[in-house]
Amino acid sequence: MSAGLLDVVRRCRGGEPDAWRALLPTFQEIGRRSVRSFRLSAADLDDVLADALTSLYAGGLSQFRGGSTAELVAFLRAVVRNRALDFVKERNRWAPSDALDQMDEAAAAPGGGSAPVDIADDECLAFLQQEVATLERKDRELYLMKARGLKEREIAEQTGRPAGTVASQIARLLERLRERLRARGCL
Amino acid sequence: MDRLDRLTERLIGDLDRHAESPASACVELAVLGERAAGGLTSAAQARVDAHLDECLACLNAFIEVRDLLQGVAAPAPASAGLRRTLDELIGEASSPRVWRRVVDALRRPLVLRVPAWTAAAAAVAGLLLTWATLQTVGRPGGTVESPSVDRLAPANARTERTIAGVVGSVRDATSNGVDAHVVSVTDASGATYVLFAWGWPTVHAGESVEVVGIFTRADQSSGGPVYQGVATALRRTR
Repeated sequence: MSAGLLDVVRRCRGGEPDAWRALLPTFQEIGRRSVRSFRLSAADLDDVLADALTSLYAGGLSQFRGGSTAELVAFLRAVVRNRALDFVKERNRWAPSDALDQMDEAAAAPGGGSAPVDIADDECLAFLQQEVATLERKDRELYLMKARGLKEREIAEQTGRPAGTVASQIARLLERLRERLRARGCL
Repeated sequence: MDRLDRLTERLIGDLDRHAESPASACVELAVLGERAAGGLTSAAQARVDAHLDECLACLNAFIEVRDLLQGVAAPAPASAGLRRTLDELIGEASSPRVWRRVVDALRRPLVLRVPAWTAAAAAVAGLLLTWATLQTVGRPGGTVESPSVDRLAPANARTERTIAGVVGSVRDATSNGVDAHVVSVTDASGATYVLFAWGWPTVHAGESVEVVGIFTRADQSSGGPVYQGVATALRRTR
C-alpha cells in the first residue's frame, strides 16, 4: 500500500486524472482525521478539503519532497490543517463571540493577558504534562488519542480493545487527571 | 470545555510544534510510520519503543501517524462534493467555480488582510486628502495664503489703536434686540475705517471723531486703504 500510494502521487504529479481519482479517498480520509480537533461541520469540512485539493492540484503536490508514506501523510495533513486554520481564522474574524471577546481582552491586556491566569495556566500545563508523562504507556496513548479527537470506536480499532472497555478506561483516566489537577489547585 | 480540555488542547499544540522541529534524539517520521506499519526489525522496534516510552512528543507524533496511516489503509469513499471538485479541476478547467477556487487558492497567501473598518477609514482619509488637495490647487495662484498674524491673534491680545477722522456714515446694525451700529470714518490720509460699535449712535455723519478700536485691513482691489474693526470708544473731537 505504501509504495502504491507513493506511486499514485508520482502519477498525480504527472497529471494523470485517474491517479487523482485514486488519491481522492485517501486524501479525504487523511484530511478528515487531520482536522478532527477543529470540530468543523460536514459542509465546512467539505469546503476546507475542496480548497486543499485545489491547492494541491494547482501545483502544491509538487512541493512534496519525502520518500515515505508517513512523510506523505504528514505533508497532506499540513496542507489540510493550514487550510482549516485559514478557514477558522476567517470565520472567527467576522463572528465574534463572547469567548473571542474575552480572548481579545486578555490579549489586549499588558503582557498579553491577565498575568496571574497566564502564570497559573503555564504552571498547570507543566503539571499536566508531568502527570501525563508518569502514566503507563497504554494510558498515555489513550489520553493522547482522546485529546486528538479520535472517537472511542477508532481508538478501539487502533488498540485492539473493545470499545466499551476503551470508554470506561478513558473516563477513569480523565477523572484521575482531574483529581490530580484539582489537588494542585488547577481546577 | 473545562480547564482540563483547554490545558489538553494547549499540550497537544505544544507537542505538535515540537514535532515540527524535533530534537536530535527524536525518531524520524518515516521510522515512526514503519513502526506503525509493523515494518521494523525487532531490535529497531525495541529502540523506537524505548524512546516512545520516554518522549511524549514522539509518542504524540506516533499516534498521529498511526491514525493517518489507518485512514490510508481503509479510506471511506470520497464525498460527492469532493469528487465534483476534482472533476471540475480535471475535466472542466474553464468552469468559473474551479477558476474561482484556483484564484482563491493563489490569492490567499498573497492577500493583505485588513478589517473592513480599517479599509473604510483609509477610504475616508483618502477622500479628505483629495478634498484638501483640490482646495489648495483651486485657490488663485495655486498657493495657500497663510493667514496674517493679525487675523489669527485673539481680540483680547491685540493692542487697541486710536485714529481720528470724519464720520462718513452711520448705519443701524441692531439685531435680535441688541442695539448696535456701523460707523464709517475717513482719516486725513484718506484711509477708510468701517467700525462696528455697540449701543445707539453717538456721532453723526460729517462730525470729527476720535475712535479707539481694534482694526484689521480689509482687502480692496481699488481706492484707498480700508480697515474694518470694532470701536471700543467713539467720541466727537469738536
